[in-house]
Amino acid sequence: MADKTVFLSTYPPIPMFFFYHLGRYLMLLRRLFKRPENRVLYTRELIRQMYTIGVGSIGIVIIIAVFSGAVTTIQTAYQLIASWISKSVIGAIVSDSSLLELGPTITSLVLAGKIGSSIASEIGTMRVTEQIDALEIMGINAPGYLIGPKILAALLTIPLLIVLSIGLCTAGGMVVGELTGIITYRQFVEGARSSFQAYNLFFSMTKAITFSFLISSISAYQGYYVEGGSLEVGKASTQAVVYSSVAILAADYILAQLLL
Amino acid sequence: MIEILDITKQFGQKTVLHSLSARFGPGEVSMIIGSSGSGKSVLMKILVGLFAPDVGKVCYGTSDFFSLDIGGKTEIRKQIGMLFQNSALFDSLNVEQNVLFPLQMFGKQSVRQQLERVNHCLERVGLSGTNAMHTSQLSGGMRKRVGIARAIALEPRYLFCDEPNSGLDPLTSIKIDELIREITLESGITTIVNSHDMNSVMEIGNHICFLFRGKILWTGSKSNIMKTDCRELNDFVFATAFLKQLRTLNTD
Repeated sequence: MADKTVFLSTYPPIPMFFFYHLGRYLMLLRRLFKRPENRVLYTRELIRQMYTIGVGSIGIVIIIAVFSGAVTTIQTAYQLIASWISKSVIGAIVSDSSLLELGPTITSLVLAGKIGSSIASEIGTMRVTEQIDALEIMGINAPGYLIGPKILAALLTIPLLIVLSIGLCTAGGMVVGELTGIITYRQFVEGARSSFQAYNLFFSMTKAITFSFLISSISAYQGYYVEGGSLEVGKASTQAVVYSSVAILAADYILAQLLL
Repeated sequence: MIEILDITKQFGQKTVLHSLSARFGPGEVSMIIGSSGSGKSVLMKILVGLFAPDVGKVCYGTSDFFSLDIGGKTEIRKQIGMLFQNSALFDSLNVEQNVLFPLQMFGKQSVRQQLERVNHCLERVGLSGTNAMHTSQLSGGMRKRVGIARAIALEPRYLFCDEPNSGLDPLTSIKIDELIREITLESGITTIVNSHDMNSVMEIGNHICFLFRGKILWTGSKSNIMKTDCRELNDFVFATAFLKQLRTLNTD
């Protein structure tokens, strides 16, 4: 804390604030790459985190995906009023939107709120109650044991949740299209198949992996360096959600610019 | 044995510890006492390696802790047990799992042997049969005892206790003090206790360091702490009107 005060009082505030945190974030990540003290305990922690992050988020992902797809179908149909445009275009737009944006980005933003705040508050509480100090005094690499399994679990489960989300988003759009008479299943599938490109799936999965890493690592960083008490843990939790969301949007733009 | 040599620590412009030197021997309980803000907690964190000193050395036996590589530090840390002020038990684990944790992480015994060790440690601190209890179900005294059980699970050579009596009633405090003393004597370990509880100091302190504004002003035993001329120490020890009166009567 003292080093931070000296550093930030010596240099102009805004850029230095960013570089201070970026540097500390990268140094924290570097500490993850050390040999685990006990592989069995690390694996057990990984499985626990996969359950919490993955299984624990299925419900919210299903709800978000189905409604996003449904709304996209209705709004696309509302905007495509020209009679000469084939209705199958709706299927193409909904499926591509699900694959490129709604599935990976919207789901990740929601998960940043759910998982990000949970990671930051869990690690932050461990920090203020000296549980992290206890780990370090035992000779355990605390970032490796606490943060490593969370990041790995996020990298393994969030892309699967996003695949689920893409599928349900498209299905939600298709079902609502049929139920409301906007578009038949056949027309929807025809449009979706005609516009499908394997590269889009690659792009979507690249986004999913990038966002998974950002959510878990930024939230863990926010929690790991909490100082104070429960109030500060709450603030860290909020910051984790805000910074993860901003990072997701920035990475979304950068990846779109680079890969499309 | 633990020896500190010329330890100085600054935070920003503020010097919290000024060139401290001391020795803490095996088989005895060394107490670091001082009022709030005197630097006790910072010294404790330097001793266990959570903070690095700006100047000076912390020697465990002949090894200068801060000049060791990560592997060397880990080896020393495996020999350290620590009881935290708020116990720092892992919330997600029950009593048994908390005590088992360091054994699983570093122990080379079979699962059965590890569980036997857990039961032995819990029995030693008077908590047999509480294995399945969750940490949220424990009282303050029980949490401290589980903290001690976890600290001694790996049979450490060095035991650190940060404010072991804070938040405890007098009777429970005495029990915790007795436990610390017994464990120290049984295993001949080097125990360092950070406290401002004078009952505890008089109960278990073999060797006492008085810290005042980041400096060691006085060192000695509990028998001569009552006769000292050090004004700051007297102000600390005889802080209440009752104790001041008692001292005057004693002197008269």
